[in-house]
Amino acid sequence: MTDVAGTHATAPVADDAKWQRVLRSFAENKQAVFGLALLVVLLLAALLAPVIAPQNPYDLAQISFLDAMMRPGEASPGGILHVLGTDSQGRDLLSAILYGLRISIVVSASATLIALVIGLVLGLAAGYFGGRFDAFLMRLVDVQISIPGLLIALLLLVAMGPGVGKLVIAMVAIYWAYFARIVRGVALVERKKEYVEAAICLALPRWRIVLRHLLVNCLPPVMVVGTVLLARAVLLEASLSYLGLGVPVTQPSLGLLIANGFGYLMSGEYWVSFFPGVALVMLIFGVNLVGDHLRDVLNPRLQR
Amino acid sequence: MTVFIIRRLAQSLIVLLAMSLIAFGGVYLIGNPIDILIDPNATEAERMAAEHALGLDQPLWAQYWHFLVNLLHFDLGKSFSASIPVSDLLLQRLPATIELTIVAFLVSFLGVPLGVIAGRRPDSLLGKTIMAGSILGISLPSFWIGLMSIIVFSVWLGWLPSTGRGDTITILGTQWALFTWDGIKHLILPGVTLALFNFALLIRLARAGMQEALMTDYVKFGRAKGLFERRVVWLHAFKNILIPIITVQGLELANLLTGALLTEVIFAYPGIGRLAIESIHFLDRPVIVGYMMFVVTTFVVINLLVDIVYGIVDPRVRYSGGGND
Amino acid sequence: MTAAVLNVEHLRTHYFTRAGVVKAVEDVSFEVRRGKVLGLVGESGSGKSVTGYSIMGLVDHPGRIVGGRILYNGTDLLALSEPEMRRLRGSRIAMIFQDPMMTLNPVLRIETQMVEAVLAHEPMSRQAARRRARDALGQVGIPSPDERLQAYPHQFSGGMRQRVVIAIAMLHNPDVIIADEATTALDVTIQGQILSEVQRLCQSHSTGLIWITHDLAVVAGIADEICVMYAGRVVERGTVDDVLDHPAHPYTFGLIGSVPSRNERGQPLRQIRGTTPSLANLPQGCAFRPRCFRANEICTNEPETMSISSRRETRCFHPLVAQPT
Repeated sequence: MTDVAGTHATAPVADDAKWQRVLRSFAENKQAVFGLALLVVLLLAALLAPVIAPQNPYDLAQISFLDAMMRPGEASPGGILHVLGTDSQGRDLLSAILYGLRISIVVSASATLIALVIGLVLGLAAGYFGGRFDAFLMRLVDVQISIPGLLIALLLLVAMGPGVGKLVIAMVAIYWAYFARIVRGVALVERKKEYVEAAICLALPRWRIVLRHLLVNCLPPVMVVGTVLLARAVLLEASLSYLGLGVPVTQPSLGLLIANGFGYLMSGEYWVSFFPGVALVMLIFGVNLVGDHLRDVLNPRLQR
Repeated sequence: MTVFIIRRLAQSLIVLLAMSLIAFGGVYLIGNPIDILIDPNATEAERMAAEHALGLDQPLWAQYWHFLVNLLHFDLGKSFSASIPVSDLLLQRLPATIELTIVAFLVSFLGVPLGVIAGRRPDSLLGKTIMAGSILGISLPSFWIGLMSIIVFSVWLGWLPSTGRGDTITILGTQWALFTWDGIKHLILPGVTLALFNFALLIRLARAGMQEALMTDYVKFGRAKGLFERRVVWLHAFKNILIPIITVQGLELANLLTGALLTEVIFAYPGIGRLAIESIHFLDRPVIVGYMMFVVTTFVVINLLVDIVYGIVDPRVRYSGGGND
Repeated sequence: MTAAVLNVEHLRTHYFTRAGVVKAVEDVSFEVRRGKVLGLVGESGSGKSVTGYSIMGLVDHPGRIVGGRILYNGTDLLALSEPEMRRLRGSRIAMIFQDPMMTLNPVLRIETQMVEAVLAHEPMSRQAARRRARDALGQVGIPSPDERLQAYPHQFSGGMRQRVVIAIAMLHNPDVIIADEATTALDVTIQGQILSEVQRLCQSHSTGLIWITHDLAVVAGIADEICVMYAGRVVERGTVDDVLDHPAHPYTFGLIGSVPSRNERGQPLRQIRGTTPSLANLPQGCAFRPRCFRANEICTNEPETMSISSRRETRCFHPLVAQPT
């Protein structure tokens, strides 16, 4: 019982070799690499929006109603070429999409991340301490998950009103439960394993046990669930914004841009709805491709 | 088994109670509906009278208690804007949503055979194409696909109508569109749009299940018996993958019901989802609460039914359940 | 001397995996005679199961038979089309698997699984097929077969389930039955019953039996002839008495020595040092060389199969019995 390091070595803490194998297997899969590349391109585009966008769609001085509803490829008298056309207010659609992409990504990613942190903390606490806290939390999770997410979001947004921050809160309120459930499950299993007991016997501080062992073992399933929920969050954000219950009109996300084009569909002016939708699909598709392969790689049941 | 059902029932009731509380509480926080409903120039007395007529002057808990008691009598209150009982309003719109959901549900089941094909030959070109298609399928926002299908099939090709429900016939006092040609035409675009996600999901489920089932000994034994591959795949393996599919599909049916909300808005389809969104814009509190209660109740009931159907399909559950509980 | 019903000649079955070619079966030859039992012995991973699947034509992707012949009554099975092969499977050549829990389809009644096996090879009415199934159940000693037909697999005990599997295998009085570890998953007492049941049935129908097992004790009790496999190759072949009493190959010698009951009390168990090699990465020459106590430089060459006596072969440069001169 002298070798403290030994207990660490025998703990199934995800070691470098495992992650190397995951990475290698990931790189071998064309779909996953394609998805990742797609995501990187979209992220860069969103990040660099102010630099690469032909105009700032929020700057009223740059927008003219005279340029409204120009077809893709037309150039405005001001000299800007509108590759993807303009919308009803004369905004360059490509610019609007780049800025909209930013909002879509920021809202859904921050909602997922906050939900992850909350779920992680609550799930670890429930799994580690057990007892009444655990029972109460899991009942809450059950109730929460048995109510459709869209309904919860509608309810909260109706109550709170629209706004980026409120949208994030509504989405966190939906997704934390999924993280809490999966983390708690892993923590329960891991808590009973010998290396945790060994660590307790060695009188290592409790927080170290929790952090070092439970947390690391929770990571793979949390990553898998995280990507699935991220894709869903992007979709939900777009849906809510489409319904006019999400982001405010002054900060249009992709979903709201699609909604803006609705009135022009019947006259065949498709592009205002079409191109933001393509960007949205690329974003969700990229996340799903990565997530799909991540699940294959990290799923212990399929590792043989 | 009985104990199990009772436990599940109790759990369901808790969910419903929680939902009623959340729905009522949440919806109460929206701005005062009186401001919208009555003439801004009305006198204070008129305003008080209107509040009293709608029961809005009572304390919050009294309103909730009243609401809960009425709920047990299937009385969801009166719509503020339409002045008819919410239950009538919902019932009026319900057939449309039921038709839409069922059409979408049935259409999405085309994903099962595709998933089986992909699962049998996951490395073939066809298998890979189906799989890539299904990932794309779950990535497509239904409302966007709805809009694009309107552009293509209604505006450019002019084949299908894009709004409304079309002709209906009256059966037992309710309007059904599924029995008229015009009604069916109106159902195609929204139905397929709504089905898309579940369709893609079913491909994935069936594929994963088939891959797993084909590795089992009973499939090998089926082949060793000299059965035709058809029978091995479509009876032996298929019946086994049906169990996880049914479990998920119960939930998906309920998800379709909420998903119908977006589809109904896009296609101006007069179902309960569109009613809910209209009510949100009018701040018609009883209707919103009524809609939510209805959807969650359906959700909970379907979940219960799934557990029971599960026992029927899987004989292991059916028989062992009786002895263990 | 009865005629051989099945001749396996230089069979080679390889698996083409990403990590490389796995030579699961490499140059395996043996013959099965009517009413006789051939024991196919080896550790797990020695290729004995794959040999069985190869005969049945049921090698799964990414495996493929890359060479040799499998002669059934003189016809090469490898040259048959899939429909022709299907007609033989289950009717002329049947297979029994290791775990009766997994072999029968959990969601189908025994009746369904037996009737389909009858109808796959002989067109007749369902009633007739059902009678046939019932009689077969009676033959393998299952009480009240009429009622048991209605049951699901999980309602049987392990031993009874294996009897059902045997009944299915015997339905068409096959010429050859391949039993792959058919008693390994059963209790010892049940093992004995099943063994003698199978032996009795095969003798009365003059069915040739291939008994695949890792358990020498089982083979000693049931087999007429033995093939010992190691790393995909047959290392020794001969009558059961010859091989067990005078093993020629050092591996067989070690294997026999490892059986606890054959050791004298108080003596330490003999064991074979080392572990079975990975089939994807075999040592050069004789695969047993690194674990062999008789190995020297010559063993880095591939040993050929050579005859010791009339029905006796081994694949070793240093056999433990005298070679004919």
